[in-house]
Amino acid sequence: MATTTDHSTNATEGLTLTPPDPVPVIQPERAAGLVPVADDQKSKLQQRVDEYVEDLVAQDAASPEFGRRVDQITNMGRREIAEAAGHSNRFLDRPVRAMDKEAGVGADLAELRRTVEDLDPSTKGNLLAPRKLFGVIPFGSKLRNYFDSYTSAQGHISAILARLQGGKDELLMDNAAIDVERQNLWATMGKLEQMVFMSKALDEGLEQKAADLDHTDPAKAKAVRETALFYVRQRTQDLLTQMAVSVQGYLALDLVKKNNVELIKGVDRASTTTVGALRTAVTVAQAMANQKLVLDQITALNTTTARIIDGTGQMMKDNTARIHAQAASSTIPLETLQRAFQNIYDTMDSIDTFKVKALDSMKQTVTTLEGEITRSKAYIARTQGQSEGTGTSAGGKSMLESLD
Amino acid sequence: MAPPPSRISKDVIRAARRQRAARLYTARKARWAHRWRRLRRAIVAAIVLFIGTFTAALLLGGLPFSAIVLMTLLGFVTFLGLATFPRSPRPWPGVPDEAGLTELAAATEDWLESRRRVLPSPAVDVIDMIAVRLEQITPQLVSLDETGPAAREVRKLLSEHLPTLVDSYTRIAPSLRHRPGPGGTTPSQQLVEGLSVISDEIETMSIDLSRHDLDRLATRGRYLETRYLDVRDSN
Repeated sequence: MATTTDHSTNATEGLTLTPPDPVPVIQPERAAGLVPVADDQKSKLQQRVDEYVEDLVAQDAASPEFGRRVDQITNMGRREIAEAAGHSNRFLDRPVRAMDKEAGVGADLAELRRTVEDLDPSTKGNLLAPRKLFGVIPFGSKLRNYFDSYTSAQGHISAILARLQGGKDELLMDNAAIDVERQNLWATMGKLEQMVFMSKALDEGLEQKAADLDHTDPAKAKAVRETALFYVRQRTQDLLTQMAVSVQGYLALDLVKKNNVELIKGVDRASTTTVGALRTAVTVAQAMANQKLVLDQITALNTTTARIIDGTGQMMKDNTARIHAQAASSTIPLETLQRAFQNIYDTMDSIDTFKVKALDSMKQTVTTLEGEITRSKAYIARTQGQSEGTGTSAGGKSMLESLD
Repeated sequence: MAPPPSRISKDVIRAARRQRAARLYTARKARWAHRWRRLRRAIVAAIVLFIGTFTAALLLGGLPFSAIVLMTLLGFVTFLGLATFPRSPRPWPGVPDEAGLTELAAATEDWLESRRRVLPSPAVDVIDMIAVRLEQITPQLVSLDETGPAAREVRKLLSEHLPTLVDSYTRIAPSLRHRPGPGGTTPSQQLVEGLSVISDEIETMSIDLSRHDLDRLATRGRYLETRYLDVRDSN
């Protein structure tokens, strides 16, 4: 995942998290064609269709054999549709789950923000003013006390950062699952696509055959039109409906994945900016109060999550040099620290706005998907009723099957 | 309509035959062991009875003739009774509908074994194929939820559809089994077709059951890739 590391190399550039657009409604008529069917497969399927049409027309229109051939049409693609439907039932809980996960990460981010706000130098008043007992007697240094508060907060912060890393791993895991699911779905859609091609070819073939038979055998032409062709058209509609749902689910999965990637970026950036601010604090404490601030836990975290923090390390080295150069003037380091805190806030704000927008487009996608799935369920119920009524043609491999 | 050759793999069947021979051998050994145990017990009982009678005769100074006849008869009855009962466990149980999900596959296999002799030879090939697939699905059934829809389907197929199919074939008089019906196929062919469908369905169920695990493995692999490999590549 190149993006997660690329952006963190320079933490000073603005973080933009773009929520993906919601997945539009896919009309069944336009659903076919996403997964290409290879030409040699097409010719094989066409051959199957031609054989089937010949075989069908050779039977007596009133014979049970004719009926058995027609049953093959009603069963055509049943397995493919069932498989695709199984997949689409699973997408519905995925976006919801992803949103729940986001809540987990979101809670951690909120907690991080609260903790960091407590350390923000801009909320502490004038840190450079001498501290006085009863407002009169000089007593210690405000600045020294302020930097001491880092030491007590570091355990809490490192715990939150570790949790955020865990959350990030979960998001990565989710994305891996989505990749696998999309791969399966792609294969399933390929099979559906084959069946769509086949049913369209059947439609054409039967139509033509019926037209030919009109002169020689009108009774058979009628039978072909009223049974076979009727079922083929119904079946085409079923296949296209399922195809639309699958395509929509496929795109929805991509949307969830993109959201996760953006969120991972956000989490990474929040961790980096936080650690960056703490490191700045260490440097500033050294420069201003000549105070050796030891943040062991943060350093430990730093090495364990070295990969994402690496970029920050580079940035911090530059900053450290700069801060040391400016150490002569006393107020500038404090400003640097304030900027570091501002960086954290900016990151968190952009995550928040991202989440609002992403949630919105996710909701839209889920709503459309739900509608489509309900529609396709009605189709599937009908299909199942039909196939149970006709009984699967036991034994003899159906001629109307997709290629493996 | 002979079954398409793709459904029956000769290699698989050969392996299945070997498996079956081994299974039958162990079953036969177990049966004989049982018989020997029974016979041993009967002999020991007869000897004990004889010694008992003999000792009693010595202590009492002779027994009346009627007592000797009675004891002899008793000896015979005991010997015969113990040599015959308890019967060896029947190697082929009834229809496997009461077996738990985990024993279902094994029970079905045993049941098919008992029907093997009455089935036509092409069906025997298919039955061997079914046996192989049952072996394959057995470990998967262990972790299956007993009340889930998948378990219901497996149970229905193995304890309902399969026995019904075979029974409805065996109920046909042997002379009629090879006579073509109105559909143009003989009952034997229909049986083979039906068994092939069941065999394929067991395979499909097995694939369905392992799909979740396959996906989980693929997901884990993909996760490791994104988590460690891609990050390293981009650095």
